[in-house]
Amino acid sequence: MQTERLITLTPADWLIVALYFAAIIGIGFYLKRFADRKEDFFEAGRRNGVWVAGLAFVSANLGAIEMLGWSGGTVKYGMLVSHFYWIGAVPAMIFLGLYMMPFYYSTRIHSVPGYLLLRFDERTRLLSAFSFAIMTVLMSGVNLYLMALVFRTILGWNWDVSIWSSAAAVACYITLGGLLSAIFTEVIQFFLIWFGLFLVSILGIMDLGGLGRVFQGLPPEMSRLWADTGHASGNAMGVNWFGLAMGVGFVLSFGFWTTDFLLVQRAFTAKDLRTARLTPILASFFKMFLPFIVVVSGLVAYRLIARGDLPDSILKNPDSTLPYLIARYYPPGLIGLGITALLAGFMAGQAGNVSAFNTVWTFDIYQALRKTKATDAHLVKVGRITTLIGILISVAAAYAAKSFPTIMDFLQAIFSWVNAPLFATMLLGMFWKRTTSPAAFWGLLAGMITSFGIFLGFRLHLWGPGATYALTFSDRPSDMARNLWQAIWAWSMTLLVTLAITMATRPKEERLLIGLVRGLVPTERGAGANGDDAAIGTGKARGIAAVREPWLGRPGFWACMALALVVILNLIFW
Amino acid sequence: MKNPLNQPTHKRMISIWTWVGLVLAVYGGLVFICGVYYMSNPVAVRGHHPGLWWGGVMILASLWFLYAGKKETV
Repeated sequence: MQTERLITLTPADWLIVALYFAAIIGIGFYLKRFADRKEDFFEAGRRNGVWVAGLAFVSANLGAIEMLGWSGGTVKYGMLVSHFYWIGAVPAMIFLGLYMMPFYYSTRIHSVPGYLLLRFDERTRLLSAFSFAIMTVLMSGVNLYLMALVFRTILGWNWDVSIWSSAAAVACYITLGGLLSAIFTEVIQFFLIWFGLFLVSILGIMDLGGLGRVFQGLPPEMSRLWADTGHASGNAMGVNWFGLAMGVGFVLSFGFWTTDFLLVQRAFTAKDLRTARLTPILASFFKMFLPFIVVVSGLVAYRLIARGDLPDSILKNPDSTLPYLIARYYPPGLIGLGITALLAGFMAGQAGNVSAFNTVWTFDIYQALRKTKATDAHLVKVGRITTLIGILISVAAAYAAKSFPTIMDFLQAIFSWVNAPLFATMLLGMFWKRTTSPAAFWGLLAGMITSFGIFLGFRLHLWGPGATYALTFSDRPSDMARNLWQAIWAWSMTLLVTLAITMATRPKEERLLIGLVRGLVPTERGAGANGDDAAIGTGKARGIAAVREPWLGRPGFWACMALALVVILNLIFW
Repeated sequence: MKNPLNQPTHKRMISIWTWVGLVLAVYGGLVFICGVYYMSNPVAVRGHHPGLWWGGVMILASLWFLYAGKKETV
């Protein structure tokens, strides 16, 4: 590990960092009085407008791991990284808003596993809830671990102080305000990230003499999105166009954006169904423009390395790209702002995972196993205790990661283990009324086992050249390519097993699926608490809503705009 | 559009946009002051003083958010 610190903070920088801690803890204490009911603690009151919910939605995915990881990823893979922001995010977010949110929001569930209980059965919900709970606390721990690692490397901060101080701050404001606190800090974090890190790209472009000069000095395969994907060997990622479209553009992105409760929970805080549907669609616009921070800074770093202005050691440790650029371009004061933006990203990543964990644990595991109905006060108390336990497990995971350097690979496997198979289950459950409960459970389990089996095979070098090519369509797939194909196989296995068992088992009666499956509409108008049920997944109901809403307020209009923009961006950088 | 976090049906809450505005105002002010104090500090992009103009941009943005928070609009 590097012992020489990259950046030295001035007193002004320290003041900026300290003020952030004071602000988020102060907000936690302020919001406690508004988070006494379970609706407030676990769902932020379900009264947010589209801007708050949309910014929180995109911020929940805008952690420092993403900023550091993808700016470094751009140094390795070039413009291909933009796929994860455009085709790998926008279509899935639009699909969530237009087609899946009506089922999620209108059934008044507290979590994604809650939908599985209504649509299928308890064991499918528990399988999903346990796997999600494990994933969230591990992700929270990895946020802590990476934060300590990054700040020790670039600032020389003490490992234990970094972990315990940030864990204590997050524990404080999430225990006090629950999801309400998480959403407030996520919105603030969104602006801190843009104001704290976008300037890196601007100054880099100025340094190199304009955006055109940044691209002029790049190898062709670093500056194109699709032109070099005819064969896996034609690009640095080692994946062909089908792997990109199917893996990034479909299985991984739809699996992540439509079933990851950490994200969907932000849309659950919306005040009504239309706002909930607009939430991921609005967020897709913000997501679309993030490459202007992440990818542009990575390309600037690549050019600076090529001309000797940055050390080529970055190529061995690409995650240090952004800190190197901050050290190069930022004067005192702005360094504090940049470091605070990263710190906010790490802490928000931890807080988002812990707030999702406390909801899933309280409603889908504790309440499910307890069997009896609990009071609001009891559930909020359980949620607060769960938050503290989740934080402690996160700290333990962070220390475990310190002595287990391959944990990042393990976590990437968990993503394809949990999200990719779950997407196949959700897709069949929401859009095919014939799908049965045993099929959903065994299909989900089979997908999870497939994903983890492929991962273990690669880790333990069990796959020979023939098997490797059969699994990834590449002789030498990168880690990224392996993850993509792992997700594709897991999704396919879930789909096939679910289809096969469905054909051999008896489906639920249609009356039990009303409001849960596309095409099965409640017969009495306004059956739900706020009348949203009338709009569940039906063209007719959406037509009624469309007549009442001006076109500027319609989710479909903004979805078309987002899709058109993504197509244009792909054509520009083809 | 009314900010739902400030709707009268619930306990009165300071708008989230006010918090965003406060954070940007304080940070923008500090960055601007540092920009003035460290004007002679050499940075890679010579001739530019990012602390000065970026701090100014943040202060302007903070005014917008403070206004939005006061008007309880989003």
